Amino acid sequence: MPTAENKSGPILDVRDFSVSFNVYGKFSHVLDGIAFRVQRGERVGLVGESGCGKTTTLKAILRVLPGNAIVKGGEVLFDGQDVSGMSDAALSAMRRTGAGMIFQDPSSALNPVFSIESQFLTVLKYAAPGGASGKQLYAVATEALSSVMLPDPDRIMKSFPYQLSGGMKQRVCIAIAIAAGCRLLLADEPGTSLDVTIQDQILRLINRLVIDRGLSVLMVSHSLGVIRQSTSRVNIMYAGTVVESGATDDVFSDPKHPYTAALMECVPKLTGGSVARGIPGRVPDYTQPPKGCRFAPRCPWARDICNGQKPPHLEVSPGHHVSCHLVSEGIQ
Amino acid sequence: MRETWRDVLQRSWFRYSESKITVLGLIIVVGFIVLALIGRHVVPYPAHIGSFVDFSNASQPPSLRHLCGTDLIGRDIFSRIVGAFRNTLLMGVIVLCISAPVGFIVGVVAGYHRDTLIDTLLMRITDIFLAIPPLILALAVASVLEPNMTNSMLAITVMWWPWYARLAYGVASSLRTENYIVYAELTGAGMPHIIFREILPNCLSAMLTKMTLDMGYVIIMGATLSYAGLGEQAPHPALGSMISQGVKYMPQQWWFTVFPAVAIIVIVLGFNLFGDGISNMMGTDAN
Amino acid sequence: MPSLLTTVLKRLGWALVVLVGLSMLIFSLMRVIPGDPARLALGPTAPEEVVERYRARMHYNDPLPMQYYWWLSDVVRGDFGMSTVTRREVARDLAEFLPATLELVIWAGLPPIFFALLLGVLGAMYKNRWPDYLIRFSSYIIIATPTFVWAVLFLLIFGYWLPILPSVGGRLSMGFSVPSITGLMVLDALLAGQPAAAWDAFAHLLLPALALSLGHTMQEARLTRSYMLENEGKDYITMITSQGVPRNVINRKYLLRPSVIPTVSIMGLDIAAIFGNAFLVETIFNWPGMSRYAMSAILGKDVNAVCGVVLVLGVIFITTNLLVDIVVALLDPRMRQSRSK
Repeated sequence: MPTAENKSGPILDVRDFSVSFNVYGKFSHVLDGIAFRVQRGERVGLVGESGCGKTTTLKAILRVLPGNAIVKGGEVLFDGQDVSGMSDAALSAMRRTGAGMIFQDPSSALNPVFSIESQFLTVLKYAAPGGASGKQLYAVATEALSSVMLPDPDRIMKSFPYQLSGGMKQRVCIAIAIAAGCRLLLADEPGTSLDVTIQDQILRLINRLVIDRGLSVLMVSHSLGVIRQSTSRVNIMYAGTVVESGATDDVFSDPKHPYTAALMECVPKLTGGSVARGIPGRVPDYTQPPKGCRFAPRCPWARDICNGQKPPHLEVSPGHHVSCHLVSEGIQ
Repeated sequence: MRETWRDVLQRSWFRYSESKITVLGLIIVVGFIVLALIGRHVVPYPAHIGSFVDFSNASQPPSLRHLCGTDLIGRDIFSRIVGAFRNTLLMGVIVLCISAPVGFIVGVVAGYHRDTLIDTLLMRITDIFLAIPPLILALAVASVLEPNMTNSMLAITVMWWPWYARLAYGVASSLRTENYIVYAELTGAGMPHIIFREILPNCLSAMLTKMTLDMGYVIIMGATLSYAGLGEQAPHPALGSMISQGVKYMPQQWWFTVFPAVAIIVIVLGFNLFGDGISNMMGTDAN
Repeated sequence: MPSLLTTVLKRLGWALVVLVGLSMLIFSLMRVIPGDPARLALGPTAPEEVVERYRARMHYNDPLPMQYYWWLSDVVRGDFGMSTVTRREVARDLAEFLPATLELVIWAGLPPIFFALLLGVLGAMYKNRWPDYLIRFSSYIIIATPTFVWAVLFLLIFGYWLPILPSVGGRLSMGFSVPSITGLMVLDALLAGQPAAAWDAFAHLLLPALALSLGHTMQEARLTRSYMLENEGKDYITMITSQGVPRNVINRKYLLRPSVIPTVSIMGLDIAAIFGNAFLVETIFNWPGMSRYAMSAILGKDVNAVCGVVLVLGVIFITTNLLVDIVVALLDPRMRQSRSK
């Protein structure tokens, strides 16, 4: 397997990255200059409401955005290499053994008309460096299936997706992603389409695999609980911008951005207090995003400057960043 | 963020005209409908649409006086083609306006009574109608009855409704177990309420899209029956019969055949493009 | 694959039900025809007592359900009765005319599928580039043109202006004689070891088959293209792409199969439409198939012949659909399980 040239730097470095979509002739500016890093062996979270651009970010990392997406600026560096500038060979190598993605809905992530065996072995065939024999690949696949706690791997291999439950399909997807030997796992709200107990099992499984294999993880979720449980750093996204980032504990114990604070308020707490408030308003229209801070229309403390100018990027404490005019002016 | 009617219209038009060629379809369809409604009064020789004889002008090739030439007994072919438009349009509209509601009722009643004897019975009858090659069913019906315009419409309707029954059945049977339908039933809503207030709105855009997409095919089918001699009878003009009579004089009097054929192709093309545009607009899959 | 077998058996049982229903439909349609069937069969000059005897022998005096029973028990044994037009047994007429129609429909129905899929895939691969525009533009024009217009056009081009292909006059040129084995002329000629005759028979087939297939081919191509493009955005394609499987492998295997399944599953209906249109095309090309027989039966109110034709077509249609279902089940594992729509 190709080894990384750039062992010291972060495995993933997203710099001032913007993506727009052409929707019925109008441009929808979904990602607006997002930036974050994933260090080697680090588990990083990406939190935000539905529709804030989380999945778009993951797809952009693997360069599998739909055809109407346009990268407007910035870059995504994987192992120090710009993904959009990669040659076909480098891109394939990155996809095969660099990064692996777990999709939100496992039932749509597996091809309905091919057996698990066919899909799994195809992926392995192109991921394996030399020409491994079919038998060897099959052994790798069944081992991966056992490692995700699927009983009777031989039967799973012969099955078609419709014969498996949602949880089983999710496990198969995880097995495919890790069997090829990925170093960065991109997990898109794993298990949210499944019921809560299964979701919990899947998360535990992912966390265990990640620790056992020393993988780096970018975990996307709208659930703060999940993020708190399984990440050490977190990026809070709002409407295609990263509004706050830092060590998970710092951000959770001392949220600086009004949006982060509001998100925390939304989580019902067992320890009494008022009922969750929720955030009034909704994610803005991406075709005409607010000129200044994208959260300004919903922010209870918004001032003139918030509507007019993009907020500055500030480091409030070591490693804890926030983009907010209020913080920069020392209010709050 | 509330959408005004203007926004909706603007977006609909954008979606409709996303592939530019559908705009051509709209132009053809509008032009055709206008000609079908008033064409009989604006053509150069209105009298030629009926029984009219002028042997001194027979079989004239196309010229400025007769754009598409004249037929075997001296009638202006252009006037007759435009004269046939009204029945062509009527054929499509009537067939679809009967077969869509009939199919809807059959399909939706079967879907409402999903997995009961009524479902089995109704859908099996539908399948039997689908099991006969369409044109042959139409030919059989049209031949048992007198060959004329009304009966050819009836014949095509008989073969067309099962498609709408299938469509409505698919929607109805999948909605049947949806919670809001079950709740409506628990609160005492009867079958008519559920069918017309709950299921119909869900079927409507798919049904309307299918109707616009089907228009061209119904017109082709009507022309085919008329070609076989089972449509509108002489002396009234019909595009299909004009072609079948003209074929005997090919290739010398090519204009007998070519112009009615071109008319059919352009009309059907127009409706197909229009249907594609509508299905883009509705966001439903055309097929 | 035992589940596939169950599916086939279920479908077979269902096919029988449809056939019985079809026969009821046809039987009632015949009885709607005004006029005394016995008198129609024997002609206006036959003496009344002969007609009466015929009526008794054909059970025309029994109640309608009994009549249906008698009629059906004959039909099951392959006895459709006598044709009033040809004055021969309908079964014999069908055996004579059916193979030519069948051969035409097979050639118009099967090989074009390949071209349809090819054009559809090409269109999707070159989306919004010139090959796609060319295919789409021509498909619009071709689909809008009625089959009989194609037939007339071919007749004009190849009959008068460019006589390189035989356009009128049957299935084989003078001077060839092919023994009848399957009834399908090209195949028979090949089986008999006469390549020249096979080529000649094929040349005769080409124009009518082309006229019949053009519209369907382009329709299927459009369908394939749109399903290819729709499936391209599905998660399972993104998933396998994100694992680094090469694009051409994905297109050829993982995108193609789910995209052709819907096209293949409507083929049974396409074959039915081809049968219908074959009736007109046969007349135009003077093809010695069932069309003239059926047309004269329909126009002459030849009840037994019409029933025979429609029932035979029904059987063919149901068989075709059964075959299509099996092919679809082979392509799509979900269809092997159960088929309740």
